[in-house]
Amino acid sequence: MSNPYFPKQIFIDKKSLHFPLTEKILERTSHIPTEIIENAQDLISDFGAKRDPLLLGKQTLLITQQRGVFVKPCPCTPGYIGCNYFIINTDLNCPLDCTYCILQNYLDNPLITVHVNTENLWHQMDLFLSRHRHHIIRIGTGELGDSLVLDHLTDRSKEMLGYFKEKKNVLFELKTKTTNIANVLESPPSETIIIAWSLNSARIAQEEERGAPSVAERLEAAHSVMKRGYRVAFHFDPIIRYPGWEEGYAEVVDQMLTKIETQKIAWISLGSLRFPPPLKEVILKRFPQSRILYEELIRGKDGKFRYFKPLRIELYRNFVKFLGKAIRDIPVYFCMESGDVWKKVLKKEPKGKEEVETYLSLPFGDSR
Amino acid sequence: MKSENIKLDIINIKDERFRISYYFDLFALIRSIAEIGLIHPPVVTHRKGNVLIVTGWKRVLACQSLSLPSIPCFVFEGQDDLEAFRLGLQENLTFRTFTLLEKAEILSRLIQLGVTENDVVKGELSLLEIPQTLNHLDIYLDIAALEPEIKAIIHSKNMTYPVAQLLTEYSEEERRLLLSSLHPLGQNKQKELLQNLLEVSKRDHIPVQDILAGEDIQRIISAENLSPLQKAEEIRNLIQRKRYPTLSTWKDTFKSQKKDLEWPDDIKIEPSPFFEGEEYTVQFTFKNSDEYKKKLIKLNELVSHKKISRLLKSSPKKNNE
Ligand code: SF4
Repeated sequence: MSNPYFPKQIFIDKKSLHFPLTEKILERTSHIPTEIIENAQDLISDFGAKRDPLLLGKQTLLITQQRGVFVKPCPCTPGYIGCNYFIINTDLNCPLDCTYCILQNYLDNPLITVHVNTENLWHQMDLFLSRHRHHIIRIGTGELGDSLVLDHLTDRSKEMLGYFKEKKNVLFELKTKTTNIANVLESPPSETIIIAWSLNSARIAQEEERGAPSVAERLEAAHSVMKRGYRVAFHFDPIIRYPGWEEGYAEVVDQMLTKIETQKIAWISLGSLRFPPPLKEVILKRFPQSRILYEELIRGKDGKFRYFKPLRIELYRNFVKFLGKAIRDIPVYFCMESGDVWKKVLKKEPKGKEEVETYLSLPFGDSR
Repeated sequence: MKSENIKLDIINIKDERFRISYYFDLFALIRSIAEIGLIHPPVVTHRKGNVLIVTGWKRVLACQSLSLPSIPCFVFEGQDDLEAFRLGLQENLTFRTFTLLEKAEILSRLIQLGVTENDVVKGELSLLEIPQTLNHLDIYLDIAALEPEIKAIIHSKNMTYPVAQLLTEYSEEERRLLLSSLHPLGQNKQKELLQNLLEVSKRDHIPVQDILAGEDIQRIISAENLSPLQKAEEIRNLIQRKRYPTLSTWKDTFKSQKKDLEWPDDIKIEPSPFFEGEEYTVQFTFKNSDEYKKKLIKLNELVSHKKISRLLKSSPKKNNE
C-alpha cells in the first residue's frame, strides 16, 4: 500500500482509553472522528448485520484489549504437515482486501482491532519463552493481519524487534505485503529476526490483493531491509492457478532472485490456494469478478477446498524449477501440505512438524 | 378480536395482501374438517366492504371445497395492514414453523408493507430463525421473486436454502431451460448441477444458455431411449466433467486400470476421496469362511499382478505426477 492506512472512524472501548498505545494512536489520528463505546461486542454485532461488514470494518479502527492469550500455536490444519509455528495475536484484521483472505471467514469481528494492553503481551511472552527455552521457537505476528500495515499508527514492530533481538532461542518473523518499513529500518537488525513478504505473481497481486503494493515495490522494500542487515523470507502463498500462471510465477521468482541475495533468505514457503467452504460464499459475494474459485478445487482431508493434488504438485514442481540452483541455499517448505507432496516435489518427507521446524531453524543454528 | 360467523361467499380470496402460503395440499385438512369440523377459526378483516383473510388460507379453501355456507372467524378490527400481517404471523408461529418459501414471502410482504430492511433484520429475521444480516434478507427477497413454476419445484422437491439460493443466481430464461433437468434429480444432485454449471459458465465466459444449447447436451436431451431421470443424470455428469476435467480423467483412468486388471465386481476398491490421501479402501462381503478365504486369495492374486502398481497410481500418462 503506497499510502499509509488511516481509518474513517475510530471506536475506543472505554476501558482502553488510558493506555499509552491508545494515546499514541489518537495523537496520530487526531483528524479522524472518534467515539468512546461501552461495549465493543455490541459494536461488533452491529457491524455483522451490515451488507458488507468486512468492507466497513476495514474502514473502522477499534481500540480495545486482548482478553485472552496473545500467544498461540499456529492452528495449521488437520491431515497435513505443519511447521510448529507460534503466532502472536496483537492486532486483528487488515485494511488490505485480498480476495482469498481467510480472515473474512475466520474472525467474527470485522473491525481493524488493535489490542493496547501491551504489558500483558510481554508478560505472557516471557512466560511462554521460558517454558520453551530448550528449543528454538519460530514465532510471528502476521497470521491474523498484516504485521506492518498499522505500524505507522502503533510502532508495534519497534517494540517487537526491541524485545526479540535479545532472545536467543527465538526466530521472530514479521510478515507483510506492505512497504511500511520505516520502523524496521530504524531498528538494529539481528540474526534472529526475519522480515518476510508474501509474494504472488504480478497479475494475482494486481487483481486479487486490493490495496497491496505491487510485487516490485515489495521486493524493493525487502531489498532495503536486506541492505540494513536483516534476513528476509518470502511466502508464495496462496499460489493460484490461472491461464498463464507458469510465466507469472517464473517472473516473480526471477525478480526475487535478482533483487535479493540467496544467503540472506531465511526461508521460502509455498502454499497453494486453500480455504474453508464458507469462505466461498464470501468471495462470491464480495468479489464477483474474481475467477479464483473456478479452478479444480476439491475437498481436502481437512474439509477445506484446495486444488486437486496432481495440480498442486505441478505448481510446486514448477516453483522448484524456477528457483533453480538457489534451492540448494534456501530452505523451502510447504505450508499445510501432505507428506507425499513433500516427497514428490522436495524429495524429503518430514515425519512431523518438529522435523520441519528443525529444518527451518538449522541455518540459524549453524550461524550462531 | 371478536368472533363472527362469516359467509364463505363474501370472503374475497382474490385479495392476497396477507397471504404467505401458496404451495400446500388440502386433502388431509378437508378430511379432518369434514370429520371433526373447524377447530381453529381463521382471522379475517374488513377493508372497504371486503372481507379479507389475514391468516388461515388453507382452512378457508378447505371449507370452500366442502361447500360450507359459513364458518366461524376471528375478526381483526384494526385498519393497519402491517399490524394485521404481523398478527397473522404471530398467530401462525404459535402452532407451526414456516417453510423456506413462506419465510421468503413473509419478508417480501413486510418490505412491501413499508418496514425498513434494517427493522426486518433486527426483528422478523430472528423470529424466523434466519441469521440477522442484510445479506440473508437479500437472498430471501430474491427467492420470493422467483417465478411460480420454480417455486413449485422448490416446494415439491423440498429444496433447501442453498439450492434455492443457487437458483436465484440464474436468469429467468436459464431457470426455464434448466427445469426439466432439475426436476428428476434429488437435492444434492440438483445443487451439484446448478453449482457446476454456473462455475463453468463463469470460468469459460460462456453464457449458461450457450452451454445448454451445446451439441453434447442437446444430444442427451433429444435421445429417445433415455428416461427424464437418465437424461438429467447424463447432463449432470457431463457438466461435472466440464467443471473438473483433470479429476474426471483420473477417475476414468482408475476405472480403466481396474478393468485392465479384471478386478472382480464383488470386491470394491476405492481410492481416497479425490485421490487426496495415499490410501485405498477395499470392501467385500462374505457368507462363510470359505467365501472369505476365496476372496482373500483373489485379492492376493490381484496384488501380485504386475499391473497393480498402475492401478494404485492411477495417474493418466500425460499428467506429470
Ligand atoms: S494482506 Fe493478508 S491479512 Fe491482509 S487482506 Fe491480504 S491476506 Fe488478509
